[in-house]
Amino acid sequence: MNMTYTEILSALVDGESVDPAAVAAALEDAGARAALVDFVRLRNAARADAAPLPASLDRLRAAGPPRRVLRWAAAAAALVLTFMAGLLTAVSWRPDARDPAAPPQPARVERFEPGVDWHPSN
Amino acid sequence: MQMRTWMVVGGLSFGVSALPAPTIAQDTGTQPVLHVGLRAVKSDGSRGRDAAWETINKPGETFSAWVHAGRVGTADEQLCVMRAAGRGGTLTEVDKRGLDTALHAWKFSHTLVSHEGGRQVVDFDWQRFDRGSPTPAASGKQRLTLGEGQTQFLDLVHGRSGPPCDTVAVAFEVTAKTREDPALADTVLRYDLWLVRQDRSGRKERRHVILSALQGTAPEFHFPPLHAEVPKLQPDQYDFRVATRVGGSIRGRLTRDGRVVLELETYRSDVLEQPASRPPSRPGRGGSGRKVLTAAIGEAIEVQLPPAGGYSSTFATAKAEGERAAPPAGSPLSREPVTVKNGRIEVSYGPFFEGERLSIILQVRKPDGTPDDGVALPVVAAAGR
Repeated sequence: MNMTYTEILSALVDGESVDPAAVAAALEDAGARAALVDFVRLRNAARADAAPLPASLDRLRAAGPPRRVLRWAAAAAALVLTFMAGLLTAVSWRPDARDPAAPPQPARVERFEPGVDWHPSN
Repeated sequence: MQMRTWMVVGGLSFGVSALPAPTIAQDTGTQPVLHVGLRAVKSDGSRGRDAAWETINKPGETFSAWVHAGRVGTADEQLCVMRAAGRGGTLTEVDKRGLDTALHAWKFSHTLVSHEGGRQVVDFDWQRFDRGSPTPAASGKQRLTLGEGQTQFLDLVHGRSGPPCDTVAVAFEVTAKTREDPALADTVLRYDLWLVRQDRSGRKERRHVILSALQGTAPEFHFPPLHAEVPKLQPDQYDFRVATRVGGSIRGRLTRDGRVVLELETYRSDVLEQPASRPPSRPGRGGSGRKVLTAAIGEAIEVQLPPAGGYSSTFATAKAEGERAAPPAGSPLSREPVTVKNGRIEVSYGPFFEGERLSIILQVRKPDGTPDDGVALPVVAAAGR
């Protein structure tokens, strides 16, 4: 199975226009066939749960991007969120994110004063 | 040797019992000790036995005593016989007999003027009497400022050496010491020191050293040098750079409230050098200073060093070196950072380091496993917990 077959079959289930030859090629792949069955199951489940939208909002569905795109965007967002969460978790576990060789922030500053407590050597 | 040991210990113990423990600022529990006496010099230059008084002093109090060396009428009148006598100006019969027959006798008195961070200011008065003469052969009266562990040489007499006595001379000298608080004497302190240089563009460069030492001791530190490139003003000019070296010593003592009194002595030296060839032929320009600070354990303090000054000058090229180019007459300090004149390069450190900020950041901690709360306990005690 490859991602192209999955996309073709996903588009087919969504009712979009697809190349029949591409569908035929995709169905040759056992993994793609299994994915197609999953898509159909998912679609049936979504139909059963979905309440009909009011007529006033029906146009919103039509105006939005195709749901396939939304699904990929959601997956991408989930990946990004997972990555960010991992990053933040790693930072919080780090014992000292600073440069270990860097000096600490001084609490106060003292100065040698020439002629008082500092004298030229030659 | 037996007698010398008894005298030194006796002097110290008498001082401890006779004088109330002085209250020292910053309450480190330390007490200023002055060691005054004779030190034998052997024929090979090494240090021989000594006879001295060690006293714990209180500001304003005067201590007087004698020390003497050699005996009149003995064979060769050698200097091996040395003794301390007459503490407080009171002479016992033994003291009197010793002084009457001494080849050289020193009478001295001293008064502690002040004591701060191990440094003592002492008014010191002494006279030397030779062969029982009532008229001093030498004398001195001066106010001494002695750093901790510093010895001031005062007088020297020569003698005849030969078996069994190898003493060729006896030096009369004074040394400032400090008696540690026994409860804190075994405390180990860890020092983190950073050298940070920020140039006029804001770029920072740093060095870091870590020291560990018993409190009251003064370990030395030396940062690896910081380097600044010197621009080439002519094609055949040698490659030069300025090396800035900073080092010194730091002495820390815990106070009874858990803080640390720090005595920082440091120097800065700027040297014009050729990295690819020989070491610098002249000492660097710079200065040195001493500062006493009080800090909390773990508190970081920045100590800024003054701006650089002075200049360095040397041959700029191989040709000039071959001709042994002389420095320009007068060679006034240039306002330019780097100049080449008469075959010589001159780096004027004031303009060269303009806008620089050079600091030591220091932080004192107790080593891991040492309790941090309240009065510090000796490491030995902490290890037993």
